[in-house]
Amino acid sequence: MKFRILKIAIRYLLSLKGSTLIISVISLIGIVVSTCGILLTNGVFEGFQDNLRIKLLGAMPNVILTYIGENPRDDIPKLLELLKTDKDIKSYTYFSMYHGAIQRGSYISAVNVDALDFNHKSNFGFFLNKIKGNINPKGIVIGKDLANILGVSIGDYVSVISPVGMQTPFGYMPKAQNLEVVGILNSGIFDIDYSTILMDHNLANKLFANNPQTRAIQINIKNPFEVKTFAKSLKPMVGEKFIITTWIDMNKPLFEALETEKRGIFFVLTLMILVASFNITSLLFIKVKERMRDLAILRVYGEPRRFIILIFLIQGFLLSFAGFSLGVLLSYIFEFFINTFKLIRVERSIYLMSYVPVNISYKDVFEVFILVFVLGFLASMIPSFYAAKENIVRILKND
Amino acid sequence: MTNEVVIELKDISKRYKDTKVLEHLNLKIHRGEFVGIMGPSGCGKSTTLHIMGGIDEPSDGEVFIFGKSLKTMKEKDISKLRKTYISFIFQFYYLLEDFNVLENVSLFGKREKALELIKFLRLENRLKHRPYELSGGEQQRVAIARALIKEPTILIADEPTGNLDYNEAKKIFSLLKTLNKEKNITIVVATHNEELKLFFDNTYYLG
Repeated sequence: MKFRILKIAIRYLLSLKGSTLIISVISLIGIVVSTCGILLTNGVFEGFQDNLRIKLLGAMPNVILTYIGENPRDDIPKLLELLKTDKDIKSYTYFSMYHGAIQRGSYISAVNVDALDFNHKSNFGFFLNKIKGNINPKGIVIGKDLANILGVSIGDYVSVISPVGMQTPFGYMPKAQNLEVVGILNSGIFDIDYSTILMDHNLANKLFANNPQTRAIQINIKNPFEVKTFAKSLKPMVGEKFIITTWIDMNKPLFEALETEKRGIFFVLTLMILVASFNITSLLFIKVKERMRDLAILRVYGEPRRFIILIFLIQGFLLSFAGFSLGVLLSYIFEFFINTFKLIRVERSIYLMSYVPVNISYKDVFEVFILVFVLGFLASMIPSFYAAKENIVRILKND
Repeated sequence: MTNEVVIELKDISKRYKDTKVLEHLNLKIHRGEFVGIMGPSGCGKSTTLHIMGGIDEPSDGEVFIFGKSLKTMKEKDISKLRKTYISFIFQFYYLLEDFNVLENVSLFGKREKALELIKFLRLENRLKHRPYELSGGEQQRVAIARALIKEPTILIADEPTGNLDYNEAKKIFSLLKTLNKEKNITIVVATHNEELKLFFDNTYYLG
């Protein structure tokens, strides 16, 4: 019985009778296009997020331990010794952060001052490859955009101003020091390149009276995607004196926003499949009308209503399946071309990448599969039940 | 023909809104009987056959097939009964247009049996033809093959030769008569053609 139903369903679906073949093709195209549309849109979001994660990982530490204890002179060196023995750690850097200002001529700008040990290049971590110039503990490294605004290049002098000043008969005077620019940092992250300067610990301690806003340790681990597990293992070691912030925590709002946007667009694009499903409903209604006499004969010959329902449900299923399969195939072809020829170009300085890759995930394919089949099934149900409900005698008498 | 009653209509009435089509119809048909139901157009011949075959319900009265009342049966059981024991032939053949001759028959039974019947009905050179490529007589023979493939106990034919000329009609009736005799199939035929009543064992007039 099952093969008979399938045979009848396929024959009706491919029938040249009337105009239903053209409508079948239009319905099929509708599902192909909507499947492809959703998968590619989600693929762009997925590709963008994946690429952004990799770029962000290259531009920021995997974990930051921010000191909140009372005794930094003892606690920090003790922890640094402990970190040396951790096999998951690739590198780590202790740094302190101050707020200050930078001045050249009449231009003055607020800056974050990251102080670290200039004598060991490894301390620069991910910054190291992004600095032009010769790193010298007596000078400073400034962000590329900040350098452009100030109009300075390597070898020029700028004034670094500390809020820790002194009381004079003329009032409170901030402390300032003329320092040579020994390097230009081009991290690719606007916030850093626009408002950060790097200087040696000793120099910063003198200028800012060893009173940093933040003392922290930046850690890079061997597998950044296992950072949550690593952070958990770190907790007993650092106790309550450090706050652990992972790169995932730092970028959580960004990725949550991207995910929300992706879900929103997925929902909107679902409407495309819904419209394509309406085509299936219309198509099957036409087919039911054209095959009324056949259906009456099948029932006269003892086929149950279920048999009739299945003939049309199978047609809806076959259309959905063919549309979905072709849609997935087309999406992967587009993915290949978009990635090979880097077709989606974006501004590197804003997005950290010059093009957005498409990455169609199996999860998305599965979600669209469920969506297409549920909507296809619902769309086929109404005409199928309508076909089975028709009165045999009325059809035979009308003929 | 035996004494076993295969179809019994008991006090059947059928009304469509205010129009009375059948009133207090009583009829018993025995196994192996070749019965003709005759009468002018609109007298209720087709309705009687539909009620007999369980595809229509009477407004009043009861239908018994093999002694079992259709009134007490569920729709799916009546379908099952039709599928197993009852076949139909119609004036307009009602072949499935998307299927060829062989498929039109084999969809309702086994392929080997379909080929055998098609050969028996001299349609073997039309196997792959679609219904619109056949003459009226050929289409009706395909419809007969379709009706016979499940080896029914009861064959109900509603004006089976209404669209054919007299010679073709005679051939079809001869065929039905042969089937009735050789396979002991109970055949009920509705027709308004008086010349064909010589084929029937019993003839009932309506209207």
